[in-house]
Amino acid sequence: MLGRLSQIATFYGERATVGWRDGRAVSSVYETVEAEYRKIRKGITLTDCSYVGNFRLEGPDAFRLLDRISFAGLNRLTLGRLLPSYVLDEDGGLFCEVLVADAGDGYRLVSEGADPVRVRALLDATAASGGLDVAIVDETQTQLFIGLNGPYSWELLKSLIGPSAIGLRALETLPGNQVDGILFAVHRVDKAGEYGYLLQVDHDYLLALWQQLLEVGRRFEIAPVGYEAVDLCKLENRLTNIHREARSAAHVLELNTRVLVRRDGSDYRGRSAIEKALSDGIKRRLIGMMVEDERAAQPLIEPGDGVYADGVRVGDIAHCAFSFALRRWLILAFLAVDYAYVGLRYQLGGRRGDCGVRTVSAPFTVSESLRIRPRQDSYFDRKARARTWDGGRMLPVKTAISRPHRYQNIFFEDRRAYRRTIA
Amino acid sequence: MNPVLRAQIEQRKKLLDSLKEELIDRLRLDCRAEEIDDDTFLFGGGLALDSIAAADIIVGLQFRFGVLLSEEKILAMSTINALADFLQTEDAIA
Repeated sequence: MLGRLSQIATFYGERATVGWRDGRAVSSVYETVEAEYRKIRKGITLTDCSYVGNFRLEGPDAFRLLDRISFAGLNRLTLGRLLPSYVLDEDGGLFCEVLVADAGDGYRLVSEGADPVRVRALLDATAASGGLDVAIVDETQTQLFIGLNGPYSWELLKSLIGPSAIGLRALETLPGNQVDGILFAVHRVDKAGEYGYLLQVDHDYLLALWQQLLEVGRRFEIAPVGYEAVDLCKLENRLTNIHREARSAAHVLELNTRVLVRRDGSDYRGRSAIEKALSDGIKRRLIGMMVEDERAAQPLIEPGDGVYADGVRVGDIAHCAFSFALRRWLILAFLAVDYAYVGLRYQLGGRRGDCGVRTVSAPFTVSESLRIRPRQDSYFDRKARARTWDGGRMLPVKTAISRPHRYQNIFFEDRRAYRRTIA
Repeated sequence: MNPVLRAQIEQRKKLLDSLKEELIDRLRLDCRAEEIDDDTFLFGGGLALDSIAAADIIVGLQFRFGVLLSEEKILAMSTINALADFLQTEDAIA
């Protein structure tokens, strides 16, 4: 295990819990999931992302290789921007998720959800079978990533690299930044639903940059967070999690990805399975559900449990977790397509047969970052602003009605009751 | 499927179809209503719309459903389903 333990996990030793991601041992929890979750939603956090695969593709056929493995079309790929996509298995299931970047003199592929060794093998096999002239440089061990997430993460970055941090739009890349002689690239990737960045740094300087960020971020009360808290934020924001619900998907189209289907006619891995699913239809679709009983703080819900309508099993739970913000259990389930609509009541099977759930829209919650304007706001005046807004807490009825978007997943009847109360 | 559940689903489907058609027409999207999943994100990922499109959606919702929505709120209602929830709570005319 030692060789597979990330540098950062080694540095923290027994001060953090370690878990496996893509064949690498990284920190899953440092303090508690709840404390780390609140830090992501309110402040600035660091995450060890050194488990992701990182490949550089060069040569005349580099683009063709990417085009052959990408589920999403790459026609929107432009210099300095990342394009998110999936790599499929031949049967339409998910192999991994990827970020593709045009680096000018080549392309970069950042993978997550599969051991980088397997990704490398797939790239090699695809290039060989197509007779493609491409050089694949595996930088997984030499160029590593740190995740920087939180509604004020831009402010820390601004203090390090200047105002260009604020101008960086979603999925844009800013190479050539330097802090105390450490060179790093910044990729704007919102992995937790808040302002988010992936900082790419040389293996030899990973720990130095991590410590530098902690040092500079001390005045922002920065904290390291494990992947468990990031996963909870992803769930609340309904960002597809390749390590959780996506693992239970039999087909990529079950994940509400129809708009990503390519129409350019080119061949890509899994295409025949996609076309078959488009013509025959898919059987299940992923939908969010909430446990109706707010008091059910510890229901025994597990992935794999059944979802029932009038005693008939209509789906299976793919992922579930307790939301500290909504004080309810959130569930993602694959339901039969005829039943996968919002606003319907079902029952859970398993050990909690009496547990009622209701289907709800994505996302479960709204990001704090949507309320923050980087050119005007600051981490240091957040408390003053919280008094004028609400700071994410439940509000008296009248105030809640003036901001219905905060409560978009409180059930319709509840909101109608609020409205009747006002009237 | 019991009749009550079926009726709820049919009502929701009707609203979603109407909403998707409005978005396709107004934003000149190159797709059909059945090609847009209900939980498709409007901004960022999914349909990858921008703030100009958000303003167009506001006009479309007012025109077709008789509801008024601010730009701030529409950015928070980030999926087709979330927009449909809003229309249902506002008792919009589908």
